Amino acid sequence: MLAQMPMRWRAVLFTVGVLILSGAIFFVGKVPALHGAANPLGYLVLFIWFTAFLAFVYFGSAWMTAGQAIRPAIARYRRRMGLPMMAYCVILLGSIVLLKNSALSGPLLWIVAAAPAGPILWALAVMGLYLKEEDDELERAIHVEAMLWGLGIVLAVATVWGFLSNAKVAPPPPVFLIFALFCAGWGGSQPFIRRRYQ
Amino acid sequence: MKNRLKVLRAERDWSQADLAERLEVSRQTINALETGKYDPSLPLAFKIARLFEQSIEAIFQDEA
Repeated sequence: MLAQMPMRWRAVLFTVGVLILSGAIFFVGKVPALHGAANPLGYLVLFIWFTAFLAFVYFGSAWMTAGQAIRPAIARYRRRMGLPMMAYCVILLGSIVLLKNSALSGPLLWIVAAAPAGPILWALAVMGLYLKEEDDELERAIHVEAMLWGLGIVLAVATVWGFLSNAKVAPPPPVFLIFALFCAGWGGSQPFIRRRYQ
Repeated sequence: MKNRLKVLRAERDWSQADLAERLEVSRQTINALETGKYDPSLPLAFKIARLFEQSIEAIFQDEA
């Protein structure tokens, strides 16, 4: 049944899956048994969740385009993106463990605190490389427009939240999540952009 | 922008996938071009013109 499902429903099912998995971590985070800076169970659950999330996005996006010819640039993009995402998972967890359990100071504190940003910058470079290597101009135009939507959503959310935060009616915005929001905007806007060309 | 891509393709008995392969673009791009929903860049327009051995103006008609 899944193999014959139309592309539109595949996209809906994929989006629902991403939303459920994204929401799941907030509920898991409320389990008292997983709390505590030195609690290895909490870190293990976080690692399993992140790996499951990556696997879902990787195989889910492949399933959405199943039956279609995969363009070489997209195949390279998928292959290249796996490494920074896994590195992000490992470095983020390592950074959290060190920040919560060690009395770091000086340059080492800066390096450990900023380390999770490294794989994100790597992922941004992979995205840029994809745009450069994609030789189908319509496909490239769709992705550029979708990225602009992603940026627009990030700017809109950050601006509104920033002003609310200034007025102390909302907590400070979690700035480290802007990359995830950008990716959600990039991916979420694509079906709507593609409809214009069908 | 209107174009004669579908007619030219049919004259040669090519499928959209055949034309896509010859132009090194996706089948979706061919479909968007044929339905007039996407206007090609100048390099792609020249590539199409070369493939069909016609001028760009003979394939694409400006609606302005």
